[in-house]
Amino acid sequence: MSVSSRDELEEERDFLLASLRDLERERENGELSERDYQALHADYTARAATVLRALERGPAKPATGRKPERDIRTKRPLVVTLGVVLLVAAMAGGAVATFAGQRGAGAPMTGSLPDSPSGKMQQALELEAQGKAADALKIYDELLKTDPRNVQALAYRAWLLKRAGLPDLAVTALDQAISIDPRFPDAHFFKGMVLYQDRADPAGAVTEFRLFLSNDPPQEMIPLVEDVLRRAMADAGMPAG
Amino acid sequence: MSAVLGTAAVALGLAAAVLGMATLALGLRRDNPDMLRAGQRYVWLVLAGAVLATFAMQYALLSHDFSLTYVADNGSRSTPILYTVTTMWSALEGSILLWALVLAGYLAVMARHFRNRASDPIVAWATLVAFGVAAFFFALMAGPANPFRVVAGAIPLDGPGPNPLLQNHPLVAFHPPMLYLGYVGFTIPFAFALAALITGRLGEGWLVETRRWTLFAWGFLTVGIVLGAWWSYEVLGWGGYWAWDPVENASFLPWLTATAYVHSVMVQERRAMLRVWNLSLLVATFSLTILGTFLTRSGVLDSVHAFTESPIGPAILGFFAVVVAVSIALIGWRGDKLRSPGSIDAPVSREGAFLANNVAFAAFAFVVLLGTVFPLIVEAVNGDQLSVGAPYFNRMTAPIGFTLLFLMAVAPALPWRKASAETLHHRLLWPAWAGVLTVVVCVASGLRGLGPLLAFGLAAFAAAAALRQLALSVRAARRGGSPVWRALMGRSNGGMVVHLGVVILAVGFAASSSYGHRAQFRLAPGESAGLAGHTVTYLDTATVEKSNKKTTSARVRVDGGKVYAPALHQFPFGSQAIGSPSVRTGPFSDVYLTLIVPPDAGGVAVIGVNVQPLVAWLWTGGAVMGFGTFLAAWPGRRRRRAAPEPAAPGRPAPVPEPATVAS
Repeated sequence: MSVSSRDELEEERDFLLASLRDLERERENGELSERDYQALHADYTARAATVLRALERGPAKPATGRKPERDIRTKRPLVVTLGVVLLVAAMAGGAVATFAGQRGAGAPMTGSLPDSPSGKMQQALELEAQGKAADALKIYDELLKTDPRNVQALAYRAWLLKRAGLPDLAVTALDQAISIDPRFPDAHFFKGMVLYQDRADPAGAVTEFRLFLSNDPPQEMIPLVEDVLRRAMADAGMPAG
Repeated sequence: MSAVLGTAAVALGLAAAVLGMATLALGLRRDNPDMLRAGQRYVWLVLAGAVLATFAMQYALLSHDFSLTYVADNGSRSTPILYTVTTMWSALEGSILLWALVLAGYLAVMARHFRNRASDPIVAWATLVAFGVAAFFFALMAGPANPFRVVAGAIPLDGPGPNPLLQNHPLVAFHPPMLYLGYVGFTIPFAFALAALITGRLGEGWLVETRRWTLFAWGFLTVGIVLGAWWSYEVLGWGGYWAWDPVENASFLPWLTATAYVHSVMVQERRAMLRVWNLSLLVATFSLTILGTFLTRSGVLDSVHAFTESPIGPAILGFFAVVVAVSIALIGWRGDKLRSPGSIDAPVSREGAFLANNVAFAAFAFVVLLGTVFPLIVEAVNGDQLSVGAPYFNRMTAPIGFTLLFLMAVAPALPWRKASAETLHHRLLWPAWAGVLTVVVCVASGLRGLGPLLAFGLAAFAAAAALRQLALSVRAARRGGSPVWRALMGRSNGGMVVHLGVVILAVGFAASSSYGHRAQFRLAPGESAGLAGHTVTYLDTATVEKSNKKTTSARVRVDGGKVYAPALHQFPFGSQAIGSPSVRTGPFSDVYLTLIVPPDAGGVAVIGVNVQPLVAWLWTGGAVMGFGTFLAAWPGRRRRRAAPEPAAPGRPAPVPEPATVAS
């Protein structure tokens, strides 16, 4: 008997003896019925006896006797299992193809959240950044349908209108946003840009840029707006500083 | 100082892991027990490296050491101290450090647990594999995911702070560590599985050795996932707790395979069957934790091409490939030795039910994995950016969930080997009646919908079956003169408590996802609105400015009682307002309030109201599952400390005393 075969048999023996003691405990705890206990006890005892005999005589015998029978018996569950696996795979494959769709900007790769207004707003901004203005516009419209006084949606929708060459509509929407919340800085900036670039009204733009700067604007926007403010002031003939 | 200490600590951890591997490999090659024992001692150096690196990072965060890039990118002077501490796991490099810390902790516990068997080859190989995993994560920190990289150029005076969503609720202090305790915990059983394959000791001994480790890892992962759902519910403000997003799926996948393993391992222990399957499940579980890390940390979720630009994407994918390839090669190599001596005698038996349970869990995992990676595969192949919607996951997993609930009811009542009709009748009759009666009562109460009614019926069936098992144990304990609480200890009884937790969770899930109501109301101060029998009255709004955020909170009275305060937070470096819901939690329903639009000049605000039944049952179910896992892993009164003889190299050590392993 080789060392490794003997090791395996000893390990098997230890396991079976441990299982027999385990079984006693579970019987005491009421985890097993008497019938289950008897069946398992008989199984473990028989296997332990076989292993012990093998340890005395050599390892070859216990493994060979039952092999053909085992092979036949194990085929059926294997086939059933494989069948189930293939069925699930086919169904899942079909379903994933059915339920997969084009991913919108900012949308998760899988699953979906009922969109919150802030999430929708974020999605629209990302679409806009990707140049998908029409898609962004749809989201702003949806947001304004729920809340016609959504200042952020009004202002950013107006910015899209300005970029689409509709400055009059943009100014109307921006005026509406500013009337709802005069402290929202972005609306002032957008209005300033429309006045400066589309209406040739640098003086009006200067007023809006100053309002932007005085209403707690995002830090990263300040240098940009200060720069355009300087240019607007120069165009309006206002002294710098 | 932090950069120097942290870098040195990472180098110490990496060197110790590599030297530990080398020493153990040499010791195994030379059959030298002294070298094997020496190799184990490197564990303490790995632990020291991880603890020192964590200390350095925490010191840097708390002292606002913006000379570290990680602190400059994720820290802020205005962030409250709790969220400054949790900043460590708010971004990539810090979360790798947390992973290394948890792994080093597990390694230390493992070394201590097996200290008398350090020269046993299976322990030595398992330690070597675990050292290999630790070396990988320390190498990540030493290279592409270095948390102690120093800022180039001028040191900033302040930073943006962690992601606003990660400084909005104290659960962020518990959910990620709990999840990592689960993820990383599977390293130990995986290491023993590989060790068993390498040494050829493929009997049931190594399963017994790792049973408790697996249970603890599974318990932590379970609690971590439930805490994640709770965090999502309390923070994200959309009124739900599970959306099948890739990050959620990444944590759920290893849970599914681990749950299958926790069941199928009993078949191997009792009947010495499913050896290849169990090894495969352990390998799958560990591999899926690595895949989950890849999905959530490589940037691949933004774009399949982004991960190549991420610092760690290719490294983690490579590690995943190595883990899978080595494991499959080892299983193939040991194929002959993995043949089971037994087989299933009858399909209607406990082992048959466990096999069916495993097929169902495997199918569940396959469905989730396919849905999660399908968009990645399509994008990699033809560049299309697809999204697999929640309906795919809901429709595909619902029937599997029902099957699992049914099996959860039936399996504990089935005897091993073969069940007779008489046994089934005797054991399942009243649990089945409990299920039927529950459906009848639900229908009579006016509840409708096939899905939830089926879920309630099967849940009642499963609960009754679990309670029956526990009642039998209590009766046996009384008969034997043991205290009743002893009857809840041990794997089988603890497992039944876990089943009860699953039932509670399933009922909460079915009810809250089927019978919820959702509405938005434009309300002026003093105005009220009603939804699903509840009345909300908007009182007023207040704005509070703190150093780290500006908070606008509405005061809303619910059902004429307590006032709740849903809010919007504006963080200095955040472009978006972050909503913070306020929830009236009750045992039977939650009223979930969000401030959607702050009041306009006229004072009118838009308040979101969700009324969802039995949401609290989800968290209760999770807690019961965690408690049940603890009971299942509890050593129990019969545990006796075995003092096994250290095995000579090349020979297996004796299996611990049966009483130790049985409890």
